[in-house]
Amino acid sequence: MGPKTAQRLALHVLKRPETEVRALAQALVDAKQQVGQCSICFHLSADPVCDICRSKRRENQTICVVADSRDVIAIERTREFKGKYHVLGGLISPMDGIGPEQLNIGQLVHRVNKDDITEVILAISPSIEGDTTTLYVGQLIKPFTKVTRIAFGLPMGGDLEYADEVTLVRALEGRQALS
Amino acid sequence: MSRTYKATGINLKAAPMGETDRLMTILTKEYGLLRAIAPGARKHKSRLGGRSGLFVVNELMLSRGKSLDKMIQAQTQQSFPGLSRDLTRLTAGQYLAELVLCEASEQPQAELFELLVAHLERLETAPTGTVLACLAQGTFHILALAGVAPELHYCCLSRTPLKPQLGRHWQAGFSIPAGGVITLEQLERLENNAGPTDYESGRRKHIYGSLITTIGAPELALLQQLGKAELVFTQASSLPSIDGVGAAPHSLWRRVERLLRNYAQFHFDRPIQSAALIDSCFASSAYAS
Ligand SMILES: [Zn+2]
Repeated sequence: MGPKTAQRLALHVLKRPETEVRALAQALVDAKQQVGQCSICFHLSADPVCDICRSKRRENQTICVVADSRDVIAIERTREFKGKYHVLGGLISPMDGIGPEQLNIGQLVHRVNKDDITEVILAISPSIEGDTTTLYVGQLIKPFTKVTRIAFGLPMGGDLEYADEVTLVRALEGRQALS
Repeated sequence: MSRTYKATGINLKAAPMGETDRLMTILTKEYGLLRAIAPGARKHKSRLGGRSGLFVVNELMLSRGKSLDKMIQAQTQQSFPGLSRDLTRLTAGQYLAELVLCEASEQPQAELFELLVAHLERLETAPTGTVLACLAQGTFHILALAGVAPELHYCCLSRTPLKPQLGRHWQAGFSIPAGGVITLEQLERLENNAGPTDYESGRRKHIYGSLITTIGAPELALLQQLGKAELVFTQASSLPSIDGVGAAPHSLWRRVERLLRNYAQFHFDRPIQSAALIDSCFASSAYAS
């Protein structure tokens, strides 16, 4: 949150009646106390096992691996994906002290090994750290199941001429045959 | 003074800032280390998105701000996608970036910039099994550019030339506070006369490990070649000779890297975070030597 947004929020809170402000404060405390991580997929959840993992209508055989809970929310908005998730909790970045041990990678390998998983989709943002994480995780789980990664390239509605060189190179590398 | 200026730089750090911005730490040729905001870089359609990634080299147009400058335009010249091929390459690249972050100032840094780019290129293309050797040499070159590389050819205390005798039980000493290699006699003298250590070196010893150690002939032979522009790799022999550095076994390169790491950490008085992962990358038996 930037300083301007923070200021706007603070001013808004100051203008509201005290009862409302108390309710907001209580809600924040409750959220902090109640929201934890799903013990299976590590998505944010108020219960020990999240709604998605508990759902009977979702496919159990496909796992979509993401870096962060925000990515789960973004993919859920598409209503396209019917499988389950696994949140790694970040990307490998040795200079920030984050190696594979600091992420929920071992738990993913355990899940894939134990359950009957037919496909793992790696949906990690493209960057040097993201690609390293994708390749590292991919190599670990490839012996157990089919591993795919989401496609990268130009954003919908974006003009090719304005795309940056790094994105363009990725889009060319990820080209597909016209069917 | 104009509000905007141009620079050529490589991104060394990027942290999310606010809703969609990134806070960049960039090593530029013209202005050394600078921190700048890449506005909106985390938005999907941002023209700065890919250009604000780690290790991307850009021609930049920046505008001066009250506290932080802003990236207005960036044109990518080079990037290092090959560093994400395996964990060891990324780790080694970030290790060098950490050293550069310790060393760089806000003065022009064209040489340091060129050096880092050259070593990242090597790490990107190095054959598997030579990454650690490339890392050790990159570390040495970066220390040398700062004028703090360890002395490896003469005893730091007696100025006796040191020539490793390969194939025999030959040893020398390595003293971080003395600034590099020392003869075995000097090492013994230091150990016998060890008085009470002062607080500062005691503190660093506590953080960064032993400051004085013995090294064998193969380690010194490798160390002495690090100052060269390039390492020569051969598959022929299993011991380092003047031309056969690449053939040295991994365990030897690990000791060399460890010596340089302790040396760098002591000098910059800062731990190298990436080093922890270097240890686990190369400790795993899966990594062929
Ligand atoms: Zn769950």
